[in-house]
Amino acid sequence: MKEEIDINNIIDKYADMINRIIYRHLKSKEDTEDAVQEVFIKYMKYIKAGNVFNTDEHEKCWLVRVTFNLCRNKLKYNKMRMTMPLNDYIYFDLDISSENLLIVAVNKLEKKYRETFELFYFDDLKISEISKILKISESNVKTRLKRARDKVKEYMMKGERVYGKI
Amino acid sequence: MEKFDKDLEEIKTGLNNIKLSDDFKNNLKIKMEEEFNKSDIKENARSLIFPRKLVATFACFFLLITSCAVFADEIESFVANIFSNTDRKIEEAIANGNYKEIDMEYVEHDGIGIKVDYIVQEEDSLCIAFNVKSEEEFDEVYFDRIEILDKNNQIFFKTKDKNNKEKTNFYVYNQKTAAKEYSIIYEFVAKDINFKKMYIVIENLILFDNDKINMINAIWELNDII
Repeated sequence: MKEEIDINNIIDKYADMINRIIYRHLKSKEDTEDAVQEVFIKYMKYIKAGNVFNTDEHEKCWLVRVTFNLCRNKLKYNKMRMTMPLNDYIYFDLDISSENLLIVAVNKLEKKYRETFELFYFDDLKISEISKILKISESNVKTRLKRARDKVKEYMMKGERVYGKI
Repeated sequence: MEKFDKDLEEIKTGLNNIKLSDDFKNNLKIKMEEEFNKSDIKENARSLIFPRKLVATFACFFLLITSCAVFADEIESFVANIFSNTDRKIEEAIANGNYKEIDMEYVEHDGIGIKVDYIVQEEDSLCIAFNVKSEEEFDEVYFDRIEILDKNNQIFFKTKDKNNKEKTNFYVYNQKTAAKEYSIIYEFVAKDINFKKMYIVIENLILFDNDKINMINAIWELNDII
């Protein structure tokens, strides 16, 4: 085992974050755990092939990008097999009140806005990190975030009017 | 927007409660270590002179192209087993009995004995069936290097010799025939094959067992085969 690879440290730092991202996409605990394992096996193969991460940020962005790609592939596969409704992006099993309008609003966002919004607000990633993960410029990330926020607030306002939660 | 912040906080708390169990993390660590070790084995395998894939490819070619072998009735089942689905010429050769059974003792080193069982010699091809027996059980056994010489000690074939390409094509077929017993067949396609005497030197053996690869460094000299 290479001394510089501290597997415990890698798992401690990233496993739960990767788990959350995958869970948001796949919504199944079993599928999520399989996918988490797949991501970290890819990580080991990448390291074993002689690749080196210069910084923690580089490492984190690589892992999240691989996770996103894996989720997309799995969702495509699920779509082909018709095993789950793709548009039904509800967070199962979360301890969230029925009055939480934000989650309903995020659920209505277009995919590109939702991804950016979730990475920033739910995963606490920096603008620069999201830029690397989604392979778009930082200004593009900021633009998407602003539009996502505006849409979320708009949805929430509508929801508040409908449900009378102001 | 107060509600935005409040809802966001609630979602983040909910998401943060989704955590992988310690058991899962421990298993993940084991899987990652296994992956690391598996890669090591592959790297070792690539460095070997007879990589598994190469030998497998040769075996496929051998099965498709072989047209030289001629064996006798008493080895018909042996031949039928190894050369099943091959060229019809093989069947004809077996029927014609055009083979030579070699009566020799095992040459032994490090608990591994090697001898030649049969040779089929024609003008444009040479087939040598080796028999390998070992004290321990392995999945597959391959020769690392082999050198075949004629009566004048002229080299007919030598592993990794550049001249091989100009005059000789060769194919290898490997099969476990019984517990601790293996058959390795070399087929050479070349012009004007006519051995009056034959000497074979085998250097080092590569042993595959599950994911483990071992090499036995020794020299087996098989003299006066013909």
